[in-house]
Amino acid sequence: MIKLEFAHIEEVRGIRKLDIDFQKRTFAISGPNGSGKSGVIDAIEFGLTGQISRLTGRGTKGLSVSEHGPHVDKTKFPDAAFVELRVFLPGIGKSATITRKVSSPKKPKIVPGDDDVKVALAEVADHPEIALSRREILRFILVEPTKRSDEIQTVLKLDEIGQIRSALNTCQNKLETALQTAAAQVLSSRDALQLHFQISTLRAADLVEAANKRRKLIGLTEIAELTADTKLDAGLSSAAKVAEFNKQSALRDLNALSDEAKGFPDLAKMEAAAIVADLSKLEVDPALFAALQRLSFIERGLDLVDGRECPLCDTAWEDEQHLRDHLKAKLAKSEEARKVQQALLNNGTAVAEAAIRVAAFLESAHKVAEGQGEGGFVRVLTAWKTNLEGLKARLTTVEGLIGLKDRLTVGWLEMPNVFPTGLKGLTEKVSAMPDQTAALDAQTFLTTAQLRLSDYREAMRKNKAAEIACASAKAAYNIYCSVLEDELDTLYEEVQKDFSTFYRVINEDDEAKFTAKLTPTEGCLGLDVNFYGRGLYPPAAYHSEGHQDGMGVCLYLALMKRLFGNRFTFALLDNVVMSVDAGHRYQFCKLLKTQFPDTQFIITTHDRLWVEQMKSAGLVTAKTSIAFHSWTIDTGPLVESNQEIWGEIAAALGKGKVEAAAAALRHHLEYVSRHLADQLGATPQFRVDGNYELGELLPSVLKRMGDLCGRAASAAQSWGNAADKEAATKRRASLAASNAAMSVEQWAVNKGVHYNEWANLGRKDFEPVAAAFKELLACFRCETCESWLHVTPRINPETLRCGCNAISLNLKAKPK
Amino acid sequence: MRLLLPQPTRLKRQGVHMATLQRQIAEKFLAKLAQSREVDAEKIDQLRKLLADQKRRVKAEDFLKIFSLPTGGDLK
Repeated sequence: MIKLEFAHIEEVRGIRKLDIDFQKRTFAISGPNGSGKSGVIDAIEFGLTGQISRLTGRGTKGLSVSEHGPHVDKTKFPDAAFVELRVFLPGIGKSATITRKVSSPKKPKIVPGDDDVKVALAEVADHPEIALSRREILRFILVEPTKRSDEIQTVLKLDEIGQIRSALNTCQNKLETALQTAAAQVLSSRDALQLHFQISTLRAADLVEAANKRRKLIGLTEIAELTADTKLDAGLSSAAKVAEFNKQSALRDLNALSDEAKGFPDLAKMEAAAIVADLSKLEVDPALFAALQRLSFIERGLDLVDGRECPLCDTAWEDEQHLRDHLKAKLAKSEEARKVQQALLNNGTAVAEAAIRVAAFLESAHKVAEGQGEGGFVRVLTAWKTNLEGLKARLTTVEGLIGLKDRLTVGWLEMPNVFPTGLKGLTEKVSAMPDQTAALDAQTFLTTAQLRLSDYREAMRKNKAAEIACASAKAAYNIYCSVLEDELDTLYEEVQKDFSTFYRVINEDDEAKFTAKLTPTEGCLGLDVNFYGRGLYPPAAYHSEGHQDGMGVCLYLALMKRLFGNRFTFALLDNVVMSVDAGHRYQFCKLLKTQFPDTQFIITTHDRLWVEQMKSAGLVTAKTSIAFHSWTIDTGPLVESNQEIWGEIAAALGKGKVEAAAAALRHHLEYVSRHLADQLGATPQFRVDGNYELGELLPSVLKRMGDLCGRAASAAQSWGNAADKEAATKRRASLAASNAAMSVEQWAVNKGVHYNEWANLGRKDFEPVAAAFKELLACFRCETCESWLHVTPRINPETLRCGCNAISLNLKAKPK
Repeated sequence: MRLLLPQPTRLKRQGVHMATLQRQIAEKFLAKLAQSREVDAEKIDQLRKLLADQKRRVKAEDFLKIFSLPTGGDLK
């Protein structure tokens, strides 16, 4: 992980140009709503990961980093939008600079380009969860157990584990189906073999005896034992082997097919009816049908994902992970759809097995018909076999079954009308043939026997391989699930323990005995929390929303700790501390300081007081906090006490951007006037909402400063302090002169004018305005320490002074 | 015997520091699978390589290929 040293942000989100020195320390950014705090978080997150969380996830359809990452005025120039971060990598003890442009978020420029630096930054890029916003914290708390499980698994990167489990499950299901098919082939080939040998049980001794009977008849040596290498027709000449037609065997095959055909109308009838019933159920329930269609469609799509382009619709996504997340969300379907799917596939497989059996019978008849030159019947059988082969494939998928409803209703076998007569004719033709000589009968018997034995052996081999594959996949799946469950149990116990500890730290005053229970079940993760010793309840049952927010942050921190361990050195907390009430803020700071002493948190809040409390608690300092006082579309966030304001105004004017310069000046004046009114004790007309306009504040500040300088000069006169008198008089004179300049040019920064008349202002018109205000504000600062002057004490002030005491003007005249 | 996944040596899609949990699960899975004797050593070796390859997501087809490898069953 990293620690952030420095950030330079340009044209990203609401920021035009901003530099922040984070110093590798926990840092607070405060400012009113809409002042640009979250823009800084977005920019840092983008710099580190190439992503902006606020532009992804729920409710962000149509948003993207490429289109909405740049400042709104730079959407057509995404190259201008970039973030440059200087980071320290504690793991390797190196600093590095990463520069990432919105136009190429996946290709950051990293300096130095050392492998270990790239590796460390790649890890950070893979963890967008370093950024936590307020809208996200409740996703851990106030969600259904299934969604909580998903959310937490995503944060902990458990989705890959889930993917492996899912792939293993799919694999074992496919191998199970393959095993069923292989077993059906074994049965068919065994039936054919038994039929040829006319035996009811397949015993090696019976086969050997029957084969030897024929071998002896034609003078071949007898076979002693049926081994894997045994050839029943061994010793027959090649010419003899070609003549494989055996009349008696052929008749048996044809008669067997004829007998089997009697049962064709009822073959797998129940299974076909069950499929039709399920399909009918889908027809009357469009929602279930849609869920089922999506289920298989998206499952297939998810399996095919290989890159950021959707395999289902070719839409290009930001990256592969976003695409996967999208498809997974769509897969969250009803359990009922999945049950229907399983029933359809089970019954489909049963019908497919029946089709395999029929095809095996047809194959035997096909050979006979071919041998007899019955071209017409051969074509009938070929077409039917092809038909059944195609059917078999369609029976094993939901989409295939949906298209088969009519066929399954009227008779899935689709026996050709001419089949019975064709079979009858072929049987009669074979029967009418003269009996083969005993020698030829023996030869063809052996040839056919060997062919069928080979088929049977091949089917057995395939079945055995399928059995082994299936058993291996089942064992692997079961073991993976078992290991996964053990590991997740351990993980959830640790998270639960840390979560409870963190929450107790924040709420030690009233919930010192707080405990929580994470309960993982199939695909779910329940969360119950102890409510003041009265038992475990869901978080939303009794706890206040503020407490629930606290739980969200604590669970997030517990997950981060588990995910990164001692590498958890950086996190962005965007507005997540706002719900911590005043009574628990010190404890919250204590939690971060004590439990995460090596973690740099970048914290944003709109509550200035909160930042002061962070300072009091020692979480941040004046140097590790920054305040935005406002934001405009032209300037971005305006930083309070911005020492660089005049440089920025000059730069804007240098580029001919008068409107930007005018806005910056106005906002600086608004801030300074407010600050000085407070520091000097000015007395503008009181407003209960505290929403003072510049036009109200600045005149009262000027008047107050003039009065104070006058009082200081009088006091110095009374004490005979010529130096102070001169200093006070000089400052008052400067103020009066600048004030005069301002009164002439004030219109330039009048809100009502400059928002509407920017186009009429030229650079030369505005430069004197900026110079006049700079001169004016200099009257309120110490030339040495550059701090703003203030009075002390605030009530009945006695001194007008600066931060370094170079200016310290007595306001109390010598008593007379 | 402790089955260790090869250490990643280059930038990978999921980040080189594969979360320790994933690695722990993969290691324990392979070790338990070896103990179970349901899967032969060759297949376990293939599984190890597959799970260590973080360049792409593991798919059902990958497992199918491995579990369908011949193991020498034959008719006697």
